[in-house]
Amino acid sequence: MDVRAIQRIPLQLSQNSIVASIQVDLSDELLRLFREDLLNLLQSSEADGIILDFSGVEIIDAEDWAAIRGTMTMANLMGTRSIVAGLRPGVVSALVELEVDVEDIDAALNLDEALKLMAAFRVKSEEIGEVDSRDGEVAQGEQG
Amino acid sequence: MEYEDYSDERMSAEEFLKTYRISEEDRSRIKRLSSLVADMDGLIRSWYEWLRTLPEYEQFLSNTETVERVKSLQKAYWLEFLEAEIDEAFLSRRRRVGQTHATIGLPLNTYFAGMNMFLELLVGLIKQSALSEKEKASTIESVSKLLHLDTAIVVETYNQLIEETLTAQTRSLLEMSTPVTQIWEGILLLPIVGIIDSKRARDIMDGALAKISETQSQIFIMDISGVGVVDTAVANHLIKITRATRLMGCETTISGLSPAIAQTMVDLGIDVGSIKTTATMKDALSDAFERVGMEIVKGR
Repeated sequence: MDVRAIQRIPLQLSQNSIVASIQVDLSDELLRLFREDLLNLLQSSEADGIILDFSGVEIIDAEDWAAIRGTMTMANLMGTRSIVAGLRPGVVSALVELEVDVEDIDAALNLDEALKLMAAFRVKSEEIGEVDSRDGEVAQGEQG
Repeated sequence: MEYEDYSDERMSAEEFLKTYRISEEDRSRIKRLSSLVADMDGLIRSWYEWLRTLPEYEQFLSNTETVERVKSLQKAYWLEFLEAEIDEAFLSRRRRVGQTHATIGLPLNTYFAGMNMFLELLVGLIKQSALSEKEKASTIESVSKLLHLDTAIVVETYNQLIEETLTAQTRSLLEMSTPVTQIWEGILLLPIVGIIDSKRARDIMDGALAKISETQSQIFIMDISGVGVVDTAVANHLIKITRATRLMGCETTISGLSPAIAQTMVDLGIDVGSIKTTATMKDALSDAFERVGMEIVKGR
């Protein structure tokens, strides 16, 4: 298959989070490219959160889900929290029936709620004085 | 009322003839009988005299117009019977008869009694005829076979109608049993009464997820105070539902955990993990208000 022929999942920055709005049917190739794009952007940008908007996705099978979870774990290793948003009832019902691992996932009803939740997480991490490397840099920049 | 098409499950005319062991000879004997039954009107008259002794007569045949119409229909019915042409057209006409009787609510045993009475009248005729003793016996046998076939078709139709009604009732009952309601902006409530099996758990989950998506609710309260038994299977269903709503971004609170339920759950070693549970719906609700950022203030 010609890689260039595959549509990519658009990524955009909003309120210091990377928002991936997934509006197409998923495939292994698409998810592989998505992982690459997302992690690269994560490194090059100042983003401290990822929101995966699934509102346009009709079907997610166990394999797709495993790939998505994998990407989320990788992002987490890079110090970034992920939130899934807008999963449809049919998709959720199928995932639960397939008994895939859905524990410890932060989810939101829609993009708005996801951004709110992300803001709440930031407040919380500031409260408990959690400082990751990127915050450290910003702090130094302010001092200087 | 619409009738579903059961033509795939139904027996064909051939299968019927085979099942009821009706041979060509049987049919020709019955055909020969039609010359004996010259006075069909008389036969039907005596049948109605018998029918008048039943309490059902008043209920179903109260006016004379109906009686006359039914009488002529019945005459056609028995003339057709004596023709003994068992084909698909015959079957479908008989099924209509069954539908009619079932729809007006005639008890099945009254129908049986009626068929039995007519058999008795036919047998009486045969006995009085000029046929040889041997021929009489085999004719009676043939008539009984066809009559049984006839009754079977009608009973089959009765059964189907009853099943249809049952299915419709079960469906409406199931729909009724999962009324997920929005009780406040962002808060859904489902009181569960009765048993939770896997079918119902599935319905609850689908109903809740659809409603969450529709109302964009963040809190789903499931009240289980009306659930009789909470065993491992039921707990697993509840956990599954919670997991699903969480994946949509909606937290589920299970309220109504009575002392008895709490005790059983601990005895069975059920771990609900991080699921929020409360004793009363009141607690669940005030917690929900807090989470959606609402406050109840007493008016002055």
